[in-house]
Amino acid sequence: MCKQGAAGTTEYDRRTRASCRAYPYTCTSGDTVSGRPGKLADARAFREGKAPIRERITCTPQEVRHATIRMIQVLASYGLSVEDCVRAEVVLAEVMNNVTEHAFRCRLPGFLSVSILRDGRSLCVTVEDNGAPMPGNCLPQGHPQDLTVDLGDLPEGGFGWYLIRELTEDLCYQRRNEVNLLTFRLTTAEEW
Amino acid sequence: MDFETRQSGGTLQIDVLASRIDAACAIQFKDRMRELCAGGPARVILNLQRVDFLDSSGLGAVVAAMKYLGCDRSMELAGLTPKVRKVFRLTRMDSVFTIHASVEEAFGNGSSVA
Repeated sequence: MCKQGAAGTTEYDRRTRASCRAYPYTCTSGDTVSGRPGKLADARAFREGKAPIRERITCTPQEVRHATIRMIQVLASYGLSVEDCVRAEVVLAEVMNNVTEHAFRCRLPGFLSVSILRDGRSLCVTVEDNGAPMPGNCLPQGHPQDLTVDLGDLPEGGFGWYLIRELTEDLCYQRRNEVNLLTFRLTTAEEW
Repeated sequence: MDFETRQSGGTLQIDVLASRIDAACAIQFKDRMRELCAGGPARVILNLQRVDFLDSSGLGAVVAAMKYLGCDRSMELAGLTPKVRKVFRLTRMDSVFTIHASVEEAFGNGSSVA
């Protein structure tokens, strides 16, 4: 069974929808806007949890790189600690790369949007894309890799979901109206 | 993707000059590492001092480079910056590689590490 697929049934899901209702649905298959920098909320509105940081990109590794850098620069300028920025950077890059590599494998161009809304000590992140659904409509488990193997058998992949699961809370995947919707929280280690 | 190499005795030092090893350059990184390591000394030190960020694709590319060297040669890492170190630690890949704080330390301890 897929616990992540149990949309709309958890307290987190209700809270996420309430706190993230500022996110408009922006990622449609007919959309042609591509690769522009996201509209950035000002620092005060963001810190008060009233406006999200947003990015919307075409799904290429280069766009993922640039969007990751932009979002982390904004979060840092809004006062997020270095340690929390590191966690956010790893997670955002992994999540967006996963969409780029898997959801749009056979269909280009794809688009994805990321919204980050502050909710107290958490960053409430929503990632939407119009690519293929997760296999079985379920998130990969992301088990730690077995490293007690011969050199030639060391894994060269499969680290992404493990990192995402290690660094996030309340990870939730839904497939809704041909859209992949991934939500999670990054709980900040430090007050800010 | 730029690298600098220098050879000293039985050691090849490869400095990665890029600030990120991520999905956008992981394949290029793997290809270039193969070229740089081909036919070289048994010991390779990969200096990551200037690499600010490495994602899971970049990590896989570093592992692939080590595997390419095979059992008769070794690849050690040096100069991991905080984000890079965190990814190695979280994935427990820090248990697979010999990691030096700096290139200087790698050379200073050269005779004692595998």
